[in-house]
Amino acid sequence: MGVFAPQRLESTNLSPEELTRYARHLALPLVGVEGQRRLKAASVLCIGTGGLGSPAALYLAAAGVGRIGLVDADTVELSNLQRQILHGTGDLGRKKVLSACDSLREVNPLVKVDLYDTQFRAGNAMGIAADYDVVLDGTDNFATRYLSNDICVFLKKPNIYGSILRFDGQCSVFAPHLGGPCYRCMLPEPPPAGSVPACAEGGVLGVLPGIIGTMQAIEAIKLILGIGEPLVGRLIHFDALKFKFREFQLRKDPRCPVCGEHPSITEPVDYDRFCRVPALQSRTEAGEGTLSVSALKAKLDAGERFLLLDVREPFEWDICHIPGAQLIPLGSLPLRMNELDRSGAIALLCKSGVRSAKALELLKGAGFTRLSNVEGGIAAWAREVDLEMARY
Amino acid sequence: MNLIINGEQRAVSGLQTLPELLEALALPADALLIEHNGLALLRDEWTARPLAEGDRIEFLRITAGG
Repeated sequence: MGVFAPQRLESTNLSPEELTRYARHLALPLVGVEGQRRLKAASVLCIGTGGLGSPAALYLAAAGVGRIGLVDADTVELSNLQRQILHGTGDLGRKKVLSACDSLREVNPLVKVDLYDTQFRAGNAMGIAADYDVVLDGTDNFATRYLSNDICVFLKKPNIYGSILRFDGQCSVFAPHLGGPCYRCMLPEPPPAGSVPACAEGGVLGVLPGIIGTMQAIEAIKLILGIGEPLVGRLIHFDALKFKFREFQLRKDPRCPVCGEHPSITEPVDYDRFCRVPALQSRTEAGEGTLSVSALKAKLDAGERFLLLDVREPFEWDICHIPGAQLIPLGSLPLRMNELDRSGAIALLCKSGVRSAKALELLKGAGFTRLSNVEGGIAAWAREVDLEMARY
Repeated sequence: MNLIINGEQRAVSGLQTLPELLEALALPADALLIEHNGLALLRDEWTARPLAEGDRIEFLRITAGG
């Protein structure tokens, strides 16, 4: 069973140049000329051109997948280059999709590359993914992973899942239409926002996505070729420190709201709400509870008495911090809040304003009253106030 | 009771069910995947799932980084 209608193969032939370029594939009994024609006739959508999307898209292009779609709204930043090998130093500040497209063209100019310089959202996801045979999830947050899962279930397309953090990676293929479970069967409820760190806070070994992303590319190619045993209903966990692989047997949940027997979710939902991602709007609407970085600068310059409490991790503090601030990482705050003066004014700061908003709620719940959240965090401070500050 | 947790033998006492084990190990349930004797458990199968001598338990925290 293939990922596209067999008729598509009839009009797909290989040129003499392609026969030479893909000679090592043609020599493989399970690929051959017919398999290579299948790859040429196929299309893969890579959601994200970051750590996972980079190696996956590069290898898919090199392998001769006929059409590759790239979705990413970000621009290339210096802290990306430790792992996102689609992008180079000369690409800093460029749109990631453009930089990625150049890299893929260099690897294989015969591949058609479609660019989506946009966030993958509930409103556009179905329209974008409908045009592809296989979806490769290289996103970096729970909300987009649920979105990617759901639309693949609706469209009956395999969703090749990979995720990384620190020294650990995970890979699976979610494909209820092939008899397997979906992401929601494995994880019906997202963890509370902020409880599972992202790579930006927890860190990630730069090589690790090279391993997981190429595993995803292998699964995409196997599905297109219809060979081997796809990673359906199985999740591979790779522990780089121990260099061990574990395999988890995943099961389909008959009561799954998306792929179960009586689905209650039949179209994309509000994923930020589902994952309780604090919305930018609700943070700014909090009014007196928020403080812009310019207002913070004015308070500091005026010598006002208040505590600037930085709730980031120590390694982030080492990269940059605002003089006079005190560091208590969010995770330690419940145990250490008795060090703080309950009657004093406290301005809370993190990288972007999300963790500090959580800290504010935590302190509010403990009876603190004179609290404010620094909007946009130290990232905004580095953009608007101290342009010399190191960014990450 | 001896259990094999993530491939390593561990002696635990005073507990009989999976939720009690999570509590004893101070493992938050958020984004946790559990395999019990080779069977990945659905969320609603955790509750009161009895444990027995020699059981193999594998834990994995689902992450979302990319």
